[in-house]
Formats: sequence, structure tokens, C-alpha cells
Amino acid sequence: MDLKVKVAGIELQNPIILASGTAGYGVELEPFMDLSKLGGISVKGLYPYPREGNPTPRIWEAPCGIINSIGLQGIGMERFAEEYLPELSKQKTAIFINACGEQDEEYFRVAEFFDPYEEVSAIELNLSCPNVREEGNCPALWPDWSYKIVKWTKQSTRKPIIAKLSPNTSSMVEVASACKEAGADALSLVNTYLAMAVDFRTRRSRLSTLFGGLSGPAIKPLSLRAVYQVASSLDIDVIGIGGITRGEDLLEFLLVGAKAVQIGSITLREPAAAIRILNEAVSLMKKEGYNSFKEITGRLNIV
Amino acid sequence: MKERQGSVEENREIASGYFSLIVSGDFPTSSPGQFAMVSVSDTFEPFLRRPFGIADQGNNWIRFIYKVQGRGTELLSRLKKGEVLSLITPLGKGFFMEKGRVLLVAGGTGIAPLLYLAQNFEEFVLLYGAKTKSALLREEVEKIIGKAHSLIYTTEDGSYGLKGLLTSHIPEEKFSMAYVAGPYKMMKEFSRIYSGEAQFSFEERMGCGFGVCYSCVVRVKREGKEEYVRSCKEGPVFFGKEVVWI
Repeated sequence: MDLKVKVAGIELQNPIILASGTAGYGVELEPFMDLSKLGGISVKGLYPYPREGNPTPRIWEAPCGIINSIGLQGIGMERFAEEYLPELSKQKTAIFINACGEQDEEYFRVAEFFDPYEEVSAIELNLSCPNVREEGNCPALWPDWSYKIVKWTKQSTRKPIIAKLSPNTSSMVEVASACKEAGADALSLVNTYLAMAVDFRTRRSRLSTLFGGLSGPAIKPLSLRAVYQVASSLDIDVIGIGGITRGEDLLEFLLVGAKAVQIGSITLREPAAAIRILNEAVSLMKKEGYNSFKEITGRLNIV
Repeated sequence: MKERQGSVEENREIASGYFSLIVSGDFPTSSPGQFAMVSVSDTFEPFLRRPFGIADQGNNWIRFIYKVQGRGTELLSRLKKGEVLSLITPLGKGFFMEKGRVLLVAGGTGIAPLLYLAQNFEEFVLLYGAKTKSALLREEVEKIIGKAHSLIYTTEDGSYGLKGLLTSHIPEEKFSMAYVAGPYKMMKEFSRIYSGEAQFSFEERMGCGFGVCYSCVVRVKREGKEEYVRSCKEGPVFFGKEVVWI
């Protein structure tokens, strides 16, 4: 069976990518699975410099999911390149750098920095973290802001650019369209849904911040709809993210138009979930008589 | 660390709301202070595993002591002998062993990792506090107490042992090390009062338990610089001198 898929001009050995933020710098998951069996890994968001992140508490459980406000704690691009990339690149899987920026030019700096690294397949621009600006604001809520960052970053590297989008806007398709216009090679969606959890006894937020981002199976129907809307409106590769926990979920995302998917929150519960999901999808495909993932992608029947 | 299946050997209420869970299975060896992530539901409700400090481990079995606090531990408490659950163990860095006479300090369920740790010392004083008499796991503690050990119980309401907070009854003698496990507030207060060297085991709210999500961070000062580090990976045990109490 042909498991290969092509997204943003890169050939992946299969459509399973570990999502940024729930896979650390990749190597933390080595004890649990053979990373070389994955289509790719999107590493934890990187700024040009180390970043402290938000105070605790940073996580709260929601029904069938989690709300987080980690705030992009990270070691920064240079330490990642020195301490983790050499080991991670021994794995036969595509490495995606998740680039972040407080200032717009910082996305440019991260993308430019990784341009010479052969082992990096693509740059995923994190335009959509809801936990680092006031009230969940982020570039991916605004077509103009997203356009500017993608356009600029595109000039910093020869590598494909993937814009990671937010579902927390009614103009998601416009934002997606602006990213395409600016030269994005693919889009990944969705990042977390802006959410809250409060404690009526203490009258405080359950998190150190007022808002957090909701992820996990709770959001799957929402993210499936978002992926469908974008993938059916624009001619650009889409990577589907949001609540995928089993093989059938993966196939559903492909059906509504995703070329590949990212596996997020389920990893926290089941570190080797990504491999299980792939195996389940493959046996479902065989059972239904399909020979490649491409035969399903975007083939939703609309009556 | 590995994800392994095991089956419930014992899941017994040892005091009101406190359970002893023994799981049989082939689990890698742990050291005191390390913990396991335990599955509590086959469905996604609740979604995450629960972290528990290892209370004891032997050939083909592992033991935890937990208190029913929410949905996860409530579901766990209903498991019957023979039921299967998944463990990721052992996780984190355990206690650093010191020689000589040591002080063990446990607040509430903090007793669990200290019961495991205590087996390594010939001489110790155990200071163990709870809110009330019914929350003191005296039977568990008295099993491990020998002649060379001494034991101080405290309860907040004075229903057993010394009355008041555990931190008002810290012995004044010198110890080679203090090992402290329990709620953050208690540990913070202990560190304010106690001047000797101490190690603290943290119970931060956790996501994964194996270092990928960065939820469970503790603030430390290393090489003159303050930073958040993961209690699941760099901890859960930290030396008092590096902890920045918030």
C-alpha cells in the first residue's frame, strides 16, 4: 500500500505529523516509539531567544480535552539547533520548525536561521498561539497581519512555509487566502480554541491567565469543519489538526480535504498514539479496498 | 520508562478516602521519589492520566497510595481486582540518597513516596501531618517504623498527635538531610523555617508526565538565573537551595 503523501512540495512517508507543543523537541518521545515511522515532527515553538512561558497553573482538563496556557516556554532557536537537532535528525522523518515571534521580524529571523540546515524540511509559522498576547490576540486573526508575516518570511528561506492558523475568527478563510496570496506553501489548522475555566469557590481562573486554548477530542467536529471550509475554498495544501485520536479520524480529515494531519493532545495521554493511529488508518484503508491515501483526500460527496 | 499494562492486585480503602493500589505486571525498577502516570479511563473522560508517587515496588508489582480528589481518582477507586490498567513508569528523578540520620516530612498523600524512601535509611525521624486523625495512615507508617526511628504525628484539629500545622513541630536537632513531600504551601513554609539541607518532592498539576507539554513547571534558580523547569523531567524532587518559592 502506498502511504506517501505530498504536502507543501515535500514528500512525507505517511500523513502523520506530530503537532507542535505536544511533542517537545521530538527526542523526548524516543523511548516510546520509533520516530522514523512518522511522516514528520513539528517541534515545540521556537523564538530567536529562550522564553520563560506563563506562570502556573498552565493546564486544566475540560470534558474530553484540555485547556492549556503554557505560553510558549522554550530554549530558543540556537540551543535547539545545538542540543536537539543533531539527535533528532538521525530519525528518518521530516522535521518542521515551528517559528514564533513577539515582533514580526522574529519569524523572519527563525526561518532565516534554519535555512542552511538540510535536515529541516519546512518552516511552520505559529501565527496562532492564543496564550502569548492580550486576550488571545494573534496574527492569524487578521488577514493583513498574517499576509505581512508570511510575505516577509518567505524571503528569508528557500524552505516551504506553512502558516498555522487560528480557528478563533470568523474570517478564517480570508486569513487563509491572505497567506496563500503571500506565498505560503501550505496551511496547518487549527490551533487551539480560545477557552476559559474558572473556579466559583476561589472566584479565579483555573489557569494563571484568564484564557487558555482548548484541544483534544472535544474540538474534533469544530476542526473538521474548519479544515473543510478552508480546503474547499482555496487551492492550497492543508494539514488538518484538532482532536485526532484514532485511524478513522485521520481518514475523515483527509476526506474533507487535508493532505496530512497533525497529532496533538492524544500524545499527552498515550505517547505512542501517532503510530497506533497510522496503523489503524492503514488497516481501515485495506479493509475498504483503498490503495493510497490520495484516493480519499478531498473526496467527500456533497449531495 | 515504558508504557506497560498491569492488572489490579489490590485496590483497598485504607482510611476514609485513601486507597492502596497494588498493580501486578512487569514494570521497570524505580527509585524512591519517582512516579508513574496511571490511566484512569478507557474513554476520554477524563482525558489525562494521573501522576502518583511510587509508594513501594517489588518483583512484578508496584504500589501507590492515593486520595480520592476528583473524577480521575474516583474512577480509579472503583477498579476491581483483575482489571487492567496502563502505567508509564518510572518517571522523573527521585531523591538523592544521603547517609546518616535524616528527617522525613510528609503532609497528606506526601507520605506515599516517603514510605518507599524510608526503607533506605537506618536512622530517621518521620514528621507526618494531616488535617485530622482519619486522614493519618498510621497502620502504613507503623509497619516501617523500627527501633532506631522516631515518629511525630500532627493533626490540624488536634484529634491525634500534636495539634496544629506540621510546620509548627519541626524537631530542632541536626539532620544530614530533610526529605519533604506534600502540598506546596506546607513545603514553602517548611523551607522558610528549616535551615538545614532539604529535598522537596513537588505535586504540580501535570499534563503528560514525560516532558513534552511543559505544564508542570517549578521555578528554580540555577547558575544565578531564574527559570521554569519541568517537574516531571528535571524533578519532581528538587534541592531546597535551588527552588524559588512563589
